Amino acid sequence: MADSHLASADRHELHLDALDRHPDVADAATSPANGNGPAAQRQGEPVWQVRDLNVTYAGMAALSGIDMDIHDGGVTAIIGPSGCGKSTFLFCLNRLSDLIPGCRVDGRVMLHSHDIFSPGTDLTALRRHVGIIFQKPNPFPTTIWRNLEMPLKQSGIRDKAEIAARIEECLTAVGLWNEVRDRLRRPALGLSGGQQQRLCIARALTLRPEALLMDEPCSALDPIATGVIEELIGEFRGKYTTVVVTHNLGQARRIGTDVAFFWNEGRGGRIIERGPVEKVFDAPEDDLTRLYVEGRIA
Amino acid sequence: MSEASQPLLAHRSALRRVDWSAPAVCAIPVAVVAVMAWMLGEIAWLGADKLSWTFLTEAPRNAGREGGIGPIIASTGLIVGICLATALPLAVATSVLIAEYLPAHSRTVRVMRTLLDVLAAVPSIVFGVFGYAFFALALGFGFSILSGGLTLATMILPILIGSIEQSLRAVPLDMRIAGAGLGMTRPAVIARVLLPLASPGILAGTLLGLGRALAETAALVFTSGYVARMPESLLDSGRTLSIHVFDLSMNVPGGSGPAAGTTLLLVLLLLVLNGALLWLIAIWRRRTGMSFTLTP
Repeated sequence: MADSHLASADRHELHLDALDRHPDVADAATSPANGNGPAAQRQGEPVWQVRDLNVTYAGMAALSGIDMDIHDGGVTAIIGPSGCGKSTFLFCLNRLSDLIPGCRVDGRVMLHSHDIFSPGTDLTALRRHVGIIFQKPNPFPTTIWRNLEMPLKQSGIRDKAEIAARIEECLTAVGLWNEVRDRLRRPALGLSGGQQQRLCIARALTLRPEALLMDEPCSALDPIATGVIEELIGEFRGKYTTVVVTHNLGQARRIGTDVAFFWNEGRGGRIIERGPVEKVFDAPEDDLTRLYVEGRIA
Repeated sequence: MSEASQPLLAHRSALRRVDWSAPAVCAIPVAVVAVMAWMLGEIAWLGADKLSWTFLTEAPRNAGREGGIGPIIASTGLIVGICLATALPLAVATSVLIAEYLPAHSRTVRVMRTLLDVLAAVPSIVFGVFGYAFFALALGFGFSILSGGLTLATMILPILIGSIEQSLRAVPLDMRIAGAGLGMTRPAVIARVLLPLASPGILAGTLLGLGRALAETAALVFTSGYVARMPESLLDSGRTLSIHVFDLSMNVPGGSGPAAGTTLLLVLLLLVLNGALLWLIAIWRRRTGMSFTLTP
């Protein structure tokens, strides 16, 4: 997949401008690349800087005191037991937390030094810039084509040839093009679970996001479909900044470049340990982390 | 152990008695269907020989004893058309407001829903009097198809809002989050995702409202009047099928033949509309790939 738009070194500025001024990030993302440096060199530049993030649901603490940097082009795996706030954390990264009734967020979530919780943040631009994939595949109950066309049209792209090109590009990127090219006008719900999930990923990719958030993207899928999605996430390294919530430790290890281990002792989830995947899994500093990654506590 | 065996023994003694509950339960639907079949059969029996092309197209003569019901079909179409054209957009807008914008348990929503429930239970004659006072007199539309259509619109509005709101609420939260996650604005999610998903419910509600509108007489006597001439404008008085049936059976000795013919047409019309609804829902299912509908 051609990702020249993502190789642009000054895309951060571009995107920030887009977030601040233009409702349409997708247009900014398609600006020609100036080719300053490969993705690997930028590894380490944080895309998100989360500082002292506290979240409550109707007064109940869900996250407390989260500090975290999420690096460019990496695959950050968020691990931890159920109820430790993994999904809540993910939802704070593109402010889908706004949609959850009773959810209150304190602290700062900086996306390229723009605090996305500051008033006046363009949520439409933010969410086009940061795609999200859910646990249960959620294609719209319409045709495969319209699923992909809808976000494009909504983002102001009207040119039919452009729409067709992007749809083919994104379906190819998720390995679905050859499987569905003859049935694009058929209902998306006729696809298998794994295909539906890849369609949802393709749908998020149509807007050429910088980052993808994935909330347990394989937990509703069979092992073969899971393998396909994991491979896909592997291909996203260096192209997209990916944050994957998973409770599958093997998966975190296979696909992650970085890992953050969340744990909730009853006063809201917090990060016990985070770092490169090898370090957290093979040489954890915290005893709790060691017990968890060895599967001795859950 | 002994406590456990107690109900078992009781049960066994119950088995010895003849159990009439199953036949009784079966008899109820049989009786209901039989009454329905008898009514429809009699209407078909009495009306079948009246239904002909001339009956459907000609103007009534001799107070409806002779001739046909052409102008009446035209007036009915216009009145119901005005009713739906007014009520449907208003109902969709109100339902979207209640289901998507106002907080579900807010005072405003509670008050609105109570008022709508009260409105749905108001006898149609009251709507007739309101329509006469407001549309016919205050707005100066007089006894006209316009007054009648607007009065029917106010009458079916609560029914439409109820079913559209329910079907909007039945759309899973998933779909709203999926839309928001793609950077779609709220109005876009409503228009592109939620309303198409709720369309079977909207259609079913529309049919329900349409059925009530077609059956209405009391509200129309005061508003559209019962002139049986072919209407020349929306400000002309016009007589609907139901009013024609009422007039022929109550006021015209010897009018029972055409009354039965008109009734048969009404029944057939409702059957066709129900068939159309099922057909549209089948198309919707094929297009969406959904195995169930989100009707209330």
